[in-house]
Amino acid sequence: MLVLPLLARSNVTIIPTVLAESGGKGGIITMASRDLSEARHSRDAAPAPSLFEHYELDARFFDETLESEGQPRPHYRLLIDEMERMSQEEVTRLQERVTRSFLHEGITFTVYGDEESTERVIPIDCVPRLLLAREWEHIERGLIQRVQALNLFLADVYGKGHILGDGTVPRALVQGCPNYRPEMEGVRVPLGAYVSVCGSDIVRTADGFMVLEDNLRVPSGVSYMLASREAIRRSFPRVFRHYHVRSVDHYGQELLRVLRSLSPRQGEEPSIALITPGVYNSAYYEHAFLAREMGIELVTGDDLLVRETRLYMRTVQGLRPVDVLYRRLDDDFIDPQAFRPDSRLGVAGLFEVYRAGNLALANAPGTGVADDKAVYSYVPRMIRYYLDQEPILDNVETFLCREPEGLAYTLEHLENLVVKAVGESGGYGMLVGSHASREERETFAAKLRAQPENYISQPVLALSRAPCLIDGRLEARHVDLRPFVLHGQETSVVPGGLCRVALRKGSLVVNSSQGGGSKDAWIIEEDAP
Amino acid sequence: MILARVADSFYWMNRYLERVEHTARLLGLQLERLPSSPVQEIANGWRRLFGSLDTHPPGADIYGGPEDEDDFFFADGYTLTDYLTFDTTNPTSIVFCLTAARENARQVRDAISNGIWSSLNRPYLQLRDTDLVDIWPKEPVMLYRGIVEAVQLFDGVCASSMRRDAGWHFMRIGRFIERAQLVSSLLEAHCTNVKDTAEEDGDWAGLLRVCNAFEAYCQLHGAQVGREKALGFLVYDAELSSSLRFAVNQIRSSLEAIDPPVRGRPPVEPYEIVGRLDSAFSQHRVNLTVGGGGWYDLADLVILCRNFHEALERTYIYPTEAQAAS
Repeated sequence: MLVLPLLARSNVTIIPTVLAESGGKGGIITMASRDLSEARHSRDAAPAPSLFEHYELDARFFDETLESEGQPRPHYRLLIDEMERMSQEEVTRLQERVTRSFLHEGITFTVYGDEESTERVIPIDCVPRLLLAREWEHIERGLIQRVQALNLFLADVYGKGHILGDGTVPRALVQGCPNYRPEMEGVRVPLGAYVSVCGSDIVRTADGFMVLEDNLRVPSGVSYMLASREAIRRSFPRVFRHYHVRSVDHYGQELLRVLRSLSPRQGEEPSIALITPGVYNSAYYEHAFLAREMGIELVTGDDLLVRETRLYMRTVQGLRPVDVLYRRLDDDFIDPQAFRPDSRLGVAGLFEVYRAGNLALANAPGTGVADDKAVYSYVPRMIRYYLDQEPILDNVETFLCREPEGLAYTLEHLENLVVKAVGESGGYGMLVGSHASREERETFAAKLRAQPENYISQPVLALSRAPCLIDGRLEARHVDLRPFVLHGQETSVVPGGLCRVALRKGSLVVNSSQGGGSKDAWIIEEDAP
Repeated sequence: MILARVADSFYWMNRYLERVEHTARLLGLQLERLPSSPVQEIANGWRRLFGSLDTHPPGADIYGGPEDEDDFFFADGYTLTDYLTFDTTNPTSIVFCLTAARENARQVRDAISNGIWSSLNRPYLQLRDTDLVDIWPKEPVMLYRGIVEAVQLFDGVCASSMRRDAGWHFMRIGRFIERAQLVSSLLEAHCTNVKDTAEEDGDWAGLLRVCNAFEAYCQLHGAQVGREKALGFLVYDAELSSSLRFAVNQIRSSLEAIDPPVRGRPPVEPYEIVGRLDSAFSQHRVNLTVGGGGWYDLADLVILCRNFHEALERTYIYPTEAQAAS
């Protein structure tokens, strides 16, 4: 069968706000190929160089690890000491071992080139990023608040529409959003949990933590978080123990608990499955990983069929019903009868089963309206509106070009802004003012004037940096953090997240298909070592 | 309870791996002989090899098929080896089959453990990064020994870690139906291509070696190897893991585990075919000499294996809507 190579939106996030940095051109770092002989040679010539010898601090960026030149932040000292004790060769070997274990276990993603697809190991940097418990608790509270507000917002816009009626959020903006699903109006969603799984991208600047975007459709990356933890824990067993790192291992059980709580047949043992677009999807490894973690069936559209408004899977012993579907397919593809008719990945009639209340979907269809780039700017207002609380985590300042003041400001400051098309994702239709030529800016300004409602703009962000092992020594690279929020009867966040790294020097692109890599993120107790 | 698609992947994963092991064994033996054996024997070896894989050497369509007597006299061992090992466009090559096995494993990555996956992925990655150019001048035989061992390691990891559920049994069925089919066509190819005359000894020892049965044979019958005993051993011996009878017994017990027979209900189609094969083997009713009075020729066995495959898919993998609903 023909499988459409899906680009799940969440897989192609580009950190949009790029700050120019001199000498920002560097090749992609291939972690596996290091020149060992060079390392050996330099060790013979001089006393072992510090791993931080070439580490550059830059006053414009918050550094996660160093307070000042040669001065680690207190909570990093133990880790740095441990690494400094190792020879350069040992550190390099450790890095290679981590990469190799990913390759053998098949922790890969698929990249589609012009001619053939290749499986690539997601580059994982062996130096963990450390976050203090108090920093984490701030993020955690902020995300829980945010996901609760977003769920209330979704229930409202597909229900009575209070927030649209009183103009707090413009009705035209919401209902004109390409990811608004009128089919969802009036549909009863179990527990009101529209978004059960959320992956929000958190960035840190000198001003603190901010939410860059929410991924409310099919957020991915959690398997890399878990696999990184596995590999890095093995690499630094001693340090890991001393830091009392908070565990992420229970993510699978937590997710399963949420999925079970959504089952339409409470009191009975629910039958739960994860639907994947298939092995050709770039996140297939993650789908298989999660299904195994939870002990649920991994299915494709071909394994399922609808009969008398119930969903079934085909087994060797005939048909078996499905009560809950954790779907890793975009709305467009889940049901050719309800949504895109050319989809061959989903199941005909599935939406009818859902509407009849015979099936739970996580996440619900139509959640994309709440992670729209323009709707994003209203999230702080949603928090005040539904929860009567002040937002704990800030948004990145966003100018809506649909509003005259926003458009005027954007046009005036184009050089210092990042402009994004609201309907697009993955960095398409984007202008980075500081990097564009005068001509490019003028062309873009014309587009802005022609269709202002299509665009938003944000100031350039100075993302924090953390040390990464590059060619056997540590260099500073920009990072973000994607924690995973689960929402069922309660809302919770597994302590940690996928720390994404822009491996190319100077780059702020953390996307794995564009030279991005990942790090393990450790949440550690204040007084740990 | 197992998804039909998952059962199919388990089944195919093991069919392909059986083929990988079989081809590696045949090639290993053939390469061992290349430096020292007479041209006739080498040509016979290639003919048997291609015959048992039911395929033709590259270019056979242009220069004449393997039925062409002289075909393999001029064959270049390097080219044929490369074709059967590394040619990704040849559906019988080791790389092709190993890739297909891994692809099937990837389809059911959620249903197999990391250990099982790694034991398959590691040899795949190694073979992918190997070229015949590099190993040909050294000890190419070692490559094939390594491949056979890799498949055995995979078997061992599965056997020691898997629950004996339906997935396991579909794996076993895949493994043994492929074995039955390959051994049947190997025996047929051997009997067709190797002349058992006064000048030539019929290479029955070689045949037993390819089937990993030489030592077992010697323990049982001594080192005197003759046609009737060798063929009889490979077809009828119930204790020999590479014999046809053994394969059929394994398939039958796996089918019984998946779908326990119920008194008064007609057996499912695959079970019925296996039953026929089993009676032929237990009653020694296969024609091991030309014009014998048995029920089946060796060629018939190959066809029965294909019929079994089709019946299995009809019954469990792609049942009709009505069957599925019942």
